[in-house]
Amino acid sequence: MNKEDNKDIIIGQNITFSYKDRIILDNQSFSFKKGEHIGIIGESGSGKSTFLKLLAGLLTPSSGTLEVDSESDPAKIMKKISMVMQDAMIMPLTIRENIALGKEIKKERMDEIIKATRLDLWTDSLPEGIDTYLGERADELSGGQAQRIAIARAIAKDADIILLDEPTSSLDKDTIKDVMEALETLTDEKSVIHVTHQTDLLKGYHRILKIGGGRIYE
Amino acid sequence: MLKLTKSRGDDLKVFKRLIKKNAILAVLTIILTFLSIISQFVWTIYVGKIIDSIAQREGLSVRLLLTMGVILLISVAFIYSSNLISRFTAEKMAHTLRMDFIKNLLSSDGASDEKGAFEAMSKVQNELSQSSEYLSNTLFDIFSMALSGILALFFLLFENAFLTLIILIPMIIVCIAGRFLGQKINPLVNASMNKKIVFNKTAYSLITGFDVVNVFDAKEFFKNRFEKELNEWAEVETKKERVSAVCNSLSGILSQTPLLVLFAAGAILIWKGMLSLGGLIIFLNMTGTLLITLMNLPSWAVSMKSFLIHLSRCDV
Repeated sequence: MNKEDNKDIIIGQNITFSYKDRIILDNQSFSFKKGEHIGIIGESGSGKSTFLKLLAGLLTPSSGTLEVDSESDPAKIMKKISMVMQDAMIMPLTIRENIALGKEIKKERMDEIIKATRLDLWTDSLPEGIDTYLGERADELSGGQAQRIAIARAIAKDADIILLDEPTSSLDKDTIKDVMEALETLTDEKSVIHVTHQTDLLKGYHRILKIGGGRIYE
Repeated sequence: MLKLTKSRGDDLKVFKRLIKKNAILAVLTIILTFLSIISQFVWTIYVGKIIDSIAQREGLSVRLLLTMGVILLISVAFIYSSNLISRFTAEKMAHTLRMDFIKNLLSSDGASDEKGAFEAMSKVQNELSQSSEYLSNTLFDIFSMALSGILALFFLLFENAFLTLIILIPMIIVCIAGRFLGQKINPLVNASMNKKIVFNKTAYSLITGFDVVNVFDAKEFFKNRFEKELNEWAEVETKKERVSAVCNSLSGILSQTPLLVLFAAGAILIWKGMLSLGGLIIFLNMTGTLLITLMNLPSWAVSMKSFLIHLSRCDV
């Protein structure tokens, strides 16, 4: 964390949110500082992923105020964050298109991203490299390859706030190690909120919060 | 260890083993199928005899009618028993296949533990189910139809070799044309199917990945992409339908030519006294069986080859 910059980048005040008849947050207030790495843990179904979607602006609280990097409009909040989810969502596009999702990314920058996520180990072996069309077989990629593409997508967005929703939960031990290395590149000098049930992945995080029973607490 | 690549000889190995293990049932099925086809041929011959009697203004004798009644009953009995035995044999063979697979797997070095057996089983799950399905639903039906065609050919050659050879020529032309037209349509069918899979996948991605699309501000990108894929599919689909309509019309017209040739040649032979009206009826009846066999032989061969490959992959 950059100690010089101690300002709160996410501020939630008196937030209440229910999802599918279940109270996820009941009048809760919280704040996360810029550059802080936060781990969120909790029982299955406690609302960890829903909380992350709230922070991303994908869901709106029933009451209370949420400010993300001084923005409270969900559409503007979404522009400030990057997200890696449990399901990498690989579309029937080329690898490049899956990363850029329609954005213009310069070749040098794309090369950097590919190297940072170690996708080059795979794409260099493909005749058409990152321009390989995944087509209807997009969902046949290995979990590690798919998550690396999702991480590359998040790096390409270059947002200051990174939300991680169990990005390694469906991977085996060796792949988790590789994906975590790629995640380090993504999260370096960024504000990170990482939802997981694998607490060993949260070593070195500044704070670990627990969510459950409508509360969020340390 | 599972062997996934095999030679042609190996492809037949499992099939031969299945037949060998169910030899009595397999032989019984072959005999009953043969007899049921022959009994139907005999029935057709007698129908021809009745028509000849009517054409010659002779009365129908009680003996002829009784004989036909007996043939009909025998034919029904053979059809019923061959169907029953062939279904039973198919199920028995499918069962042998699954049980042999499990037995061999558990006794082999590579998969002596339950987990290894389960993993190997899941690897060949598709092969096992495809092979069992083919055994149960297709194998003996194809066998019966192919045998009918072959026997019909010999029977017609025996009845009137000249007429048989004359109608075989347009039949072979129809088969070659059918194959050629099929080759024209198949790539378009595949292209259309692939495009459809892609745009369905994109549509599915938009629904399941709605959060990703939102967070990465990719709505416009996907909207354009989806429209592009939909247009590409529509283009291929239109072309496919156009070519398909032309091919089907041609195929439809062509498929009538053996019948026209049969009528023309048959009429000449009847006029010259070389064929009876009943004989022409027999030809009309059996050329259909022959044409179906000839037209379907390539697809039967392909499905049989694919079945043997699936089957060979179930070997451990």
